[in-house]
Amino acid sequence: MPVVTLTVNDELVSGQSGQSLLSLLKELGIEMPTLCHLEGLSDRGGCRLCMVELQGSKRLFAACVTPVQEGMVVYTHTERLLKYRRMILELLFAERNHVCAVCVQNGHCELQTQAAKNGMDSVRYDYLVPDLPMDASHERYVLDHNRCILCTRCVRACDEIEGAHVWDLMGRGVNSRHRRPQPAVGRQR
Amino acid sequence: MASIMGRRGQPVPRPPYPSERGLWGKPTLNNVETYGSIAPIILNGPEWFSGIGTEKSKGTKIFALAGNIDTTGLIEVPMGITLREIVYDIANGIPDGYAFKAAQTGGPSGGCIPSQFLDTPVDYESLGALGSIMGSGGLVVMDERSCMADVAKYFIEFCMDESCGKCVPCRVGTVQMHRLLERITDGSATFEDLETLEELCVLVRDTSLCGLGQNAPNPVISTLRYFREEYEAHIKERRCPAGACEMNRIPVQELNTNSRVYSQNGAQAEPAQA
Repeated sequence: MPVVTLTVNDELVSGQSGQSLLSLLKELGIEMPTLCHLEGLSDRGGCRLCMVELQGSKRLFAACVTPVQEGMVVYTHTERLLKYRRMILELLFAERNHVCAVCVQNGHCELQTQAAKNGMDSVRYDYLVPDLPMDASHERYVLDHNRCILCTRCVRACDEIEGAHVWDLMGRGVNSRHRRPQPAVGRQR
Repeated sequence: MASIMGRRGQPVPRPPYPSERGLWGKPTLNNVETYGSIAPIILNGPEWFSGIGTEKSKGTKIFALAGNIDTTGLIEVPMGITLREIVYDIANGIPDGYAFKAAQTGGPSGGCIPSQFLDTPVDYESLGALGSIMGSGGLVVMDERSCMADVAKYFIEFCMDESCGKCVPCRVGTVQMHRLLERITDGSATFEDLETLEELCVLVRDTSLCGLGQNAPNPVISTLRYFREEYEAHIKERRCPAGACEMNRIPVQELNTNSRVYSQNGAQAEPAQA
């Protein structure tokens, strides 16, 4: 694969053409916050935490779904990006019921870790406190909608690795929900 | 296109653009208006088409006229026509002698254009410079009875309902924006809320995955740009200058010693004389 040369945070680096910007940044040891990215799964660009600035463009780009390109000038940790990352985390915390103090994942939580690393220490938005169910009726997994951030890692793992595509999302917007397995009636795929 | 292929209607990263790889992996045009333009271009030649319109925005554009105007409906006009011509010549102006206040172009995610820009040519560049978009070609005319904060709230509500939920800023950001606008229009907002709202607008615009989220804050950003004093009146004086918001009809709780009391039902809510 041809090598491309680009500038990341004012340093000249090289990467493989076709590689995602996020994977290159990880290789370089630049810590990028991510929530929906999982090694081995397709990327979807949904959490918007890995957004970077590209010189010459007013838009921001999610590094996970942006291929590296010759001559790219990338900035990964500008003031603006840091602020946006904090705000996105705030929005996530306000969306459902993330109550660390009573959560079994306290201390082993990626969302919590990202909040700590990115300096998000308070939420200025209204907590939406939705009334969501929890499904603990299965032996091997528990599905708690209150903690779900809709990263769809489980959906993609089941679809892409397992090949089963048992999970999916339903609903729209803020009413999107992780969908429990449904009896396969007339489903095409 | 995703729906036709049996998938969930969500945006996918671009490139590839649909014009390269779209429906079933084939190049796809999905804009009906584009199809509509193709036949006459083939029949009359490209010179005829580019002879209409302005230097950069060529051809014609179809608008759906609605709102406080005499004649609503669909119109096809050359690019570069002024808003004034559309509102006063084609749509026969605003009924009952009310004054033009603003026009919302580009559908729910477009921006509001105030009266001082009535003579701006309607093309992609000019609308963009005013903070609006051509978008779907919706054109809603509002007269002086419309409250701009209320209008912005209405459009944000639409975007909030239409959000697919894939990316965080659009899924949750629009909900929070709607909440803040609700507070502004019911008279319970503070200046801090206004600041939070402005920050959120920029976040949602800059970080959303697709055009819906990126343009969703447009109505708020543009009304804040041109009608900021209206928002401030809602917060500072707890009154809706246009008389459209509910807050005029509910008495505001007494805030402190020099609290103001407002009439319960009048559209003209004046502070009671102490």
